[in-house]
Amino acid sequence: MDEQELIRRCIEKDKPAWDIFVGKYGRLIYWAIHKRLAASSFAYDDGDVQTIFQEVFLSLIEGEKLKQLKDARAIAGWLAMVASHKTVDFMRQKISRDKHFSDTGDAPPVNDENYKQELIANDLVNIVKMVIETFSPKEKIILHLNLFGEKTHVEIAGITAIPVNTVSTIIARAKEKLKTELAKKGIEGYN
Amino acid sequence: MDRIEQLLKKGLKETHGGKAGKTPLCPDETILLDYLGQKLDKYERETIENHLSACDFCLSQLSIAYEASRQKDFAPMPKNLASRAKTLFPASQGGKKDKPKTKEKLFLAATIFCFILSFLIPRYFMQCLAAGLILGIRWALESEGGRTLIMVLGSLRKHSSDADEATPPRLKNHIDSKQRH
Repeated sequence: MDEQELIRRCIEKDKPAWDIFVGKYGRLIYWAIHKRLAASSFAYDDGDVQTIFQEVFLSLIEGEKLKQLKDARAIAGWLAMVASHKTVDFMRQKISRDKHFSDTGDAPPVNDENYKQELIANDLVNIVKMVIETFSPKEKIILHLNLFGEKTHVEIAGITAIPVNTVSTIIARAKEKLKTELAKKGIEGYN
Repeated sequence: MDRIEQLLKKGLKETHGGKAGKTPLCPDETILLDYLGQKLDKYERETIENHLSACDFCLSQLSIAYEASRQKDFAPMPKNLASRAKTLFPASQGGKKDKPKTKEKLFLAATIFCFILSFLIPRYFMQCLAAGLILGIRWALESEGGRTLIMVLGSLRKHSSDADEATPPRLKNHIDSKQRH
């Protein structure tokens, strides 16, 4: 049974097809949930993973989310996104629930030395922000994927459909631009 | 990661505004997949890229979709998870969807058959007609349209009797007196 047929039968609520679907894509969904949770600083346990896993499948069968999939060949990527989305929703709900119970409203004590350091750090961040604002959307995407997603230049090229050499050049140029700006402002230690 | 990279990371985090989840402006999964599969035209690509450059959520969605589509094998998961997911399927719907329709068709065919038979065998005309009538009623009760019709009629009857009961006595008297005149 090919992907298209499997999805069609799942939409028509065919139980044997659903069992095949769970067996075929369960591991992918499990992987995507773990991947998303691990990328955040969210503290989670096996119970959380199980809850999200069930919620993903429930949304697929009850919410008829499968009907939204246009191209059956892209199902792996699509399912990973659905699972990741559900994970983010779960994390947000849990965080807001925990915050509701633990919000004591106590502010940390203000220290003069800390305050000075914070001002210097803020100045630095403002310069960086100014430099980042000069980048094009594509350049920002590349930097973000490289620094946050920890993607290799080849992977970034695959996602953005930009040649690998161009990706490498954009990253190197961005770093160089920031170094130059910092040097212009007389900030040392970043060369 | 060197210091300049750390600084860039901090700056990017600040410019993104720290949005953690999906916003109403975020494109849905199918559009992100089209972007990944290079199925969008130049204008659409630019629009998506403008959004992606300021949205952590969509960028990480894109990243996870890319990785999932490239990866061939995934780590095993606990067996009980899959079996629980399989039980999520509504049991009443599995493979039994067409049965009532078959039954419905059978009753209709039997009704027509009895009706034709009543003319072919004049000796048993009444018997065949009665059997046809009974089967016809069964068919009407089995069919979805028939059941709906019965429900509508029942509700109409109930509604009209409720309306009669709900009419205040003074108004009822007024209507009665008008009718008498």
